[in-house]
This record gives sequence, structure tokens and C-alpha cells, in this order.
Amino acid sequence: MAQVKNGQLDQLNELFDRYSRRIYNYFLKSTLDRDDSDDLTQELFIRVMKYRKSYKEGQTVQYWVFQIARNMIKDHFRKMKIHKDQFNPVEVMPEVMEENQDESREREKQLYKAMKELPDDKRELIVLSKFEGLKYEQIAAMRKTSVSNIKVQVHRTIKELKELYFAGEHEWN
Amino acid sequence: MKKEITDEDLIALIEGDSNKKLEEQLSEDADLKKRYNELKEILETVDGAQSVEVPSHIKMNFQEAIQAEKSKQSSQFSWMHVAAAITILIVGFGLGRFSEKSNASELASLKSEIESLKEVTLTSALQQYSASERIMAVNQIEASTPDVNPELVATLINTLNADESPNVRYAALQAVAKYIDNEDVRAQLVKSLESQKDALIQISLITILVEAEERSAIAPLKDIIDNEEISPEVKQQAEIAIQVLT
Repeated sequence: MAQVKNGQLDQLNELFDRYSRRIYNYFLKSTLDRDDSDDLTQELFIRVMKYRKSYKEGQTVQYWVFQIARNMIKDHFRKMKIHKDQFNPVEVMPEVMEENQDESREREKQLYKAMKELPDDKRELIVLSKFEGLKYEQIAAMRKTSVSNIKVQVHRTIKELKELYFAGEHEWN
Repeated sequence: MKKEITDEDLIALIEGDSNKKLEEQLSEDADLKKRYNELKEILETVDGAQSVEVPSHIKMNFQEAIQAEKSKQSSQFSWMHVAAAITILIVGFGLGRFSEKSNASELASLKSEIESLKEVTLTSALQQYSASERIMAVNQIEASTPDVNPELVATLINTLNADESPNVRYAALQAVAKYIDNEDVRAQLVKSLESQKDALIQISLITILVEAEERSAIAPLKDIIDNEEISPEVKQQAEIAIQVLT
């Protein structure tokens, strides 16, 4: 990133290769919408290029990129609301052949249906901590709060998710 | 008084916090074990969830944005270039006045030597340096050599087929596409389509061959449609290409 900051813009291709998949899936699982995730991912890398000089050396690139992504997501949630009635969990899952529709895929669908019912900020917290595997310390720094507070919030959200997941299991099946 | 075990306690245990007492209770209490298993199922489903591939058009659009930003960046230096060019012009004019021996044939020979040197340097850069430097070298080829040079084309095709970086391969494709009017270049690009694995390169290659109306691409395009390992976006492009070419 230091090279990008110094004007070596071709290095952005490597940055894209390294982070695009994680960022795209962060947006996808937070917004639960493919079109929005396409636009947000595109916009994020344009912002990385445009605001490259704001990158502080010594900061991890992952943290910096996810911080930009978080600001975008917050903005997005303010402007948009998920069309819950039209939501199809398959949209946020990789395409597979029909015969691979096994039990784990069904569980995954159920998980996304439950995630859809969570408030936006809680869903994003689960995506950051569990799907993207960011450490509680990193999330705490992003959300400007303590590590113990983040840990409590994540645990409470998993509990809430569990209730939605198993309530839905009876309702949806 | 016995402390109530919360879901948060169970999640902490699943996440790896050591709690011998709780582990013992789990083996004795069926209700507690059920709650534990439910939470475990949630966390295991999250862990097992596969990520979705980034659509190739996002990368293509971003690469275009990088090129646009690079042009913007280089135009900021244009006044320095103008100043440098004026200086060279003045010095050149002065030298010309002093040199009685200069003639047109010597100038032509010198120009040719500079071009050869440039090509050798670019070819060598493609073989030795980092991915970003290789992309810069490929862009230089595009900018500096309007005529078909077989050695350069061979280097570009080799880069397109074998470079480890998809970005360099993409840049090489854009550079070699400049020589698309050449029959050999078109034939080599058709051959390259058969071996490419990266969706971005495949889609770009298809677009270039369709624009060149290269009908010999139809056979590899059909293979792409039949190949189960190739992404749906590429197959869709291949179908459109066949419709255009037939």
C-alpha cells in the first residue's frame, strides 16, 4: 500500500486480488444483495485509489480497507433497506450443481434467512467477527469501543441468531 | 446458589475458552447439551459457509479506473515534459548548427538502433522483473511500437499464455490486441483461448476475437460452452460470440 501511496498505481491490482473476495463477501453477507455488493465493491476500490494518501504507514492494510468498507456499509444501511419479502438466500451463496444440494447447503440457507431478520448493525458484526474472522480487538478499534464490549455483543448476537434460526426451522420447513 | 449457565457461557466454550466445570456439566445435563449443540450448529454453519467469487466485470472496471487515474497522474507532469522538450529542441538545434557531417541516412540508422534497443530492453523486462514492472513494460510496448515485430509479438503471446500474474497476462493481451490485423496474431490468440483459465482473460479474448470477426474462434468457443469447469459468465460471452460469428 505504501507503494500505491507513492504513485505506483499498478500495485492496486495486487491489492484488488488480495482483498476483493473478502470485501465482496463482507458486503454480500451484510447487505444480502448481489447488485448492491457489486456496486459497493467497485466503489470501495475506487475510494482506495482516490484516498490512497490517507493511508497511514504502519496501519494494517486489511484494517484500513475494512474501515472504508464499514463506513460505506453504514452509509448504505442509512439509505437503503433490504427488500425482505423478495429476499432469496441462494442469492448470497456460491452457485452449485443441483445434485450438491446437501444438508449443509440447506443449513446455510436457513442461516441467511435468520441473518436477514437481525438488525443491520448486528448482522454486520457477525459478518466481521465470524465470516471474515476479524479479531475482537480489530472490531473494537473500528467501532471505537472495548474488546470486552464487542465480545459481549457478538455472543448476544449469536444467541439471537440461534433463536431466529431454530424458530425459522419450524416456520420455513 | 448455583450460577445459571447462559448461552454466552456456552459460546465462549465453543470459541475455545477453557471451562472444565462447564464441560463436566454438559456431559450430565441433556438440556444444556442440546443448547450447546444448537449454538455449535450455528457457528459451524457460519464456519462452513463458502464465499462467493467476485464477478469479473468488477475487476475489469477497476483496471479501467486505474488506467484513467494513471493518465490523470501523467498529465500533471506534462508541463515538465514541455519544458524538457523545449530544452532538448534548443540543444539539438545548437548541435545541428555545429555538425556539418549529419545527414539523413545516419539519422535513420540511429533511430532504428534506438527502437531495437527499446524493444530488447522491454523484452528483457518482461522476463525479469516484478508483476507491476512487467505491466509497465507491456504498456510501453503498446505505446512505442506501431509495426508488427515478430519477436515482440512472440514475447507478448508467451506472456499472455504463461505469466504467473493475471494482471500481466491481461496487460499483454491488451498490448497484443493492437496487432489484431495480423493473421498470425489472430491465430495465436485463438490458440491461447483454448488454454486460458482466468475468466477475465477469457472474456477479453472473446471480445477481441469477435471484434476481429475471427471465425476460427468458433471451435474453441464451443468447447468453452461444453466445459463444466468454466464460469457461467464466460459461457454466456461465448454463446453471444458464436451468434455474432455465425
